[in-house]
Amino acid sequence: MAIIDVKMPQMGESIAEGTITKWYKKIGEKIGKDETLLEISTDKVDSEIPSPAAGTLVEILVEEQKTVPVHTIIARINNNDAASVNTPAPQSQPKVDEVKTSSSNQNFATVKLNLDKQKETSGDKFFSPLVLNIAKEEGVSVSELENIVGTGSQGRVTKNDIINFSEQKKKGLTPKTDSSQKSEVVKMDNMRKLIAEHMVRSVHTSAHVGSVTEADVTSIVNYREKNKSDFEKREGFKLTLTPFFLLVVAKSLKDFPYLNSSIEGDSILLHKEINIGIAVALESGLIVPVIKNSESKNITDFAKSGNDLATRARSKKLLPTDVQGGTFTVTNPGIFGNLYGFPIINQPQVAILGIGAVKKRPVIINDEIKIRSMVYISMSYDHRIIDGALGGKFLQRVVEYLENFNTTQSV
Amino acid sequence: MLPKFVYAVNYGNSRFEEMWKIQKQLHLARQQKRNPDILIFTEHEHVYTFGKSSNQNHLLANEDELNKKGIETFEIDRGGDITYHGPGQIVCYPIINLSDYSEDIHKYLRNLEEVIIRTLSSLNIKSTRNSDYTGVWFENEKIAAIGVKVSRWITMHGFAFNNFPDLTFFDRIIPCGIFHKGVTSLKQFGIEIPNLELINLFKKYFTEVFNMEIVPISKKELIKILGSSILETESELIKN
Repeated sequence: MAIIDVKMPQMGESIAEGTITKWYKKIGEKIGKDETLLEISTDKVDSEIPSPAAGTLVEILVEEQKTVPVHTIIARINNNDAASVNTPAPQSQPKVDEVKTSSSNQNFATVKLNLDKQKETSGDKFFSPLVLNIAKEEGVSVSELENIVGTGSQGRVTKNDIINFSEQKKKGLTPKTDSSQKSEVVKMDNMRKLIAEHMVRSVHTSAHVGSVTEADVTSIVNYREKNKSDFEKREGFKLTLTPFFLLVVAKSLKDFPYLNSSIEGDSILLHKEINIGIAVALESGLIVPVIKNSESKNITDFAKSGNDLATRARSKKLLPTDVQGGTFTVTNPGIFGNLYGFPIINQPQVAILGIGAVKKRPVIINDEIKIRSMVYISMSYDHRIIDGALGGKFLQRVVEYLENFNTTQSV
Repeated sequence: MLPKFVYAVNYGNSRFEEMWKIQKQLHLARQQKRNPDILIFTEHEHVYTFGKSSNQNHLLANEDELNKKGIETFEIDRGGDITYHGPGQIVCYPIINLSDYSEDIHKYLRNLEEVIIRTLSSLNIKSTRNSDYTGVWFENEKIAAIGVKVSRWITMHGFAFNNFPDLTFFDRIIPCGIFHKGVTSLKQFGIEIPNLELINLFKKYFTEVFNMEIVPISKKELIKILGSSILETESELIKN
């Protein structure tokens, strides 16, 4: 018999006890894993507690309305019957390991079943008695069996599959097995899960459409060359090209308020503040800190806030307010040498602009081939409210401002 | 950490039962990962609700009185004792996955209190917690009540904030079973602020306290999220 203890879960660090308000199952009733077993109450919160395992409720140790300290054993579940349908009797009893419940995030009485190799039917895969018998006769182990790619309905291993497998095995060939054995399993961390959720949600929300343009940034590149050593001496960090792009984007957004908006129901909210988010790549993942009130900033301001935010992003020192309230996003596929990208809109914004790599290219000016510093600029925008004409005009405004950058100003 | 996206809807007026159904549906769908986190703001018709640890004796009004005033009563699935909801009170129902924040229900209660405390502070009212009684207090009077249910770390129910309700409705109950303390409202402080403005303040401080990015959605969009089953609820309402 494999008996599993159900303990009073700790629903928070400062919580010492809980009151059982309701048992959803009676003694002798069957319960599935994660099915609601009981309800507990602590202060102002009621919580439904799922069963840690499948089986039969064999004992209730604490009655309804009784209050007990956390981690007290409150019930027992016999999970034996759950794992033994349709199987020959296991040679050894399934081993039950209880995961320690001391760590603070281990709040449910979690129980891990270690069924060793008695896994004929308890895992994800079902094997018919015929297949199991053939496997036994042919000396095919359970783990090998689990990795056979089944051709039956729902991927079940058929009689032919097991015979083919054992024949190939006898011939000394490596039979084809499930590829999952050949892949490393990497659990997504929280940030990855959030990014995944954001991105999918954005694609489901906005009608993404893209445009690409190019700009001649030779004069800006020259301006930066001229000023960069003075700037670094003065500010203590390098002057990059990004602040120049941010400046012209902010200026263009002022001209095109629909690009600096969001959608709420049937309304379009045109934001008065221009808060440009800048996508910063982290070791694993990315974050988009926001430069608030971009409409009133100059090159040095952009350089300073950009440098500050990017530094704090990489050292994980951003505050929640640093990543909130963005109204438009700029991303920079150019850092990785890419010509341009197809970014996904950062909801609830309506557009995201990607800056490609600045490269010297031969360009025809007045029928002459010249060497110029060129950049591709791409933008994804929400076709629900921005049509191609508007998106295109905005991009050309960015180009216009880039190409006519006032090089007499000081930085 | 990236802010978590949370939908927020200003539902306007609602009957308690209607909203309870919506909550249960969203709560289940959230457990099944079929919809994102949602904050609902609403204002109920007159209703007394009993939580799990309620004592029926804490309702002082008798049936005749309830009928006459058109007050409904419900025994419901949240923590806490009896409370009153009605016009002039903002009720907020966060249906969020605590696993994305902190798997700690006390911390969650404290965070809800913090949202309300900061909101009040922005209106120059210095409210406090009471270490024995969850909720937000001004001296010995409660301005916001909290009652929550959690299943698989998904929350439902939430808080009720007294903006300008008729406080005499609280006279007919012993709110939250606390005998020796009173109830107050923003109006008592001489502050008159429309519900919508107050809701915007709540949203602002939810953003700060929980590190959320709030995406406002309309009631229509909420109904879309709920799918066809809510339409049944709606048609029931029309019939009524």
